[in-house]
Amino acid sequence: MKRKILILEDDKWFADSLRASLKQKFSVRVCHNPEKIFEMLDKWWPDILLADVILGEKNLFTLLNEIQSYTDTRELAVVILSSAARQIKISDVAQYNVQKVLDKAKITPAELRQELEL
Amino acid sequence: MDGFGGSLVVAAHELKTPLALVRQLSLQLAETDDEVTRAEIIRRIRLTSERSLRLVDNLTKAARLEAAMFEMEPVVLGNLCREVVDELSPLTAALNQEFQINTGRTPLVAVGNRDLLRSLVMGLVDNALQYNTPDAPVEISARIQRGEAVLAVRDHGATMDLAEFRALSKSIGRRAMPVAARPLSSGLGLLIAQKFASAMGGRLSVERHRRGGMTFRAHLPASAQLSLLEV
Repeated sequence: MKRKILILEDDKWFADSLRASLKQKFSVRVCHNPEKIFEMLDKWWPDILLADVILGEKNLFTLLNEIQSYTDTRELAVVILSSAARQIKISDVAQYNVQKVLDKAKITPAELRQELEL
Repeated sequence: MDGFGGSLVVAAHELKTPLALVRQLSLQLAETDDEVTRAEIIRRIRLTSERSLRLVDNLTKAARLEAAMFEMEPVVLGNLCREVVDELSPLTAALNQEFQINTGRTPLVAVGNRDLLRSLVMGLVDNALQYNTPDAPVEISARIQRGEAVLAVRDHGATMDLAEFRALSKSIGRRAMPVAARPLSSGLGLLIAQKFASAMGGRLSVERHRRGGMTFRAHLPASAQLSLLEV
């Protein structure tokens, strides 16, 4: 069975493009609005949440903090895909179950697919 | 980080975001054989590049505002709006949106710098296109109110809660403020629009709609030529 990837990305076209790059190898869904993430998780639990950091006013870490606060969501594995990857140390975000931090401006689709195999 | 200078980080992010998208789309293009998908990707690359160029252009203009001298002239708002809508028609089609323009039968004339005014309207309309629901058109209207020429751009997208609305109303023109209900925006476009309005002796205002959507208004000096037109 294909691994399930939930993309959390506020840029619709970027999300579309990621989905197109990943869909052959993974089962993929997209969430554009961080306010809707729990609704999505209730309906479709992914193996990995692939998320951007800057999501309007609500940044990812606020959201991850909330995810960690619920017993039924705290095991969610997270991979960050961000233009600000260089500013994020994996050791600083490991508490949020972040497995990897990937640079949106440098990674190729093939590399991304490989990284999501974990 | 208050003030326009403090918004440089926001500006850098706003510029990096479309560049990362163009890069991602070009990588997707290299992996795709389907001609229809390729054509769509190429169209998205073009529209994203054009949007980035508009942002760079506006940032440059905003940075030079204080030192610059602007030629102020009477500008017919209806014509200006139609020009902007024309220019944005490829983006409008890509986002499956429509416009409704209502500037009345009498030409409404504002006093402003044509280029700045055009950029201001472009910014407001571009913003509305990003957030409007395709079920209703983006509405552009102009009227004279208490001696001011008021140009309004209304969308039917997500609205914001009262606390956020009050914070936004206060912050207009002072800092870029992201809006939770509109996650893609850093608020930089609105800050730039206010800078342009202010340089022409005008201001921006914002209204939220209970049933969804926002209206952004540019209040500008009305031209005295208006009275001649009304005779």
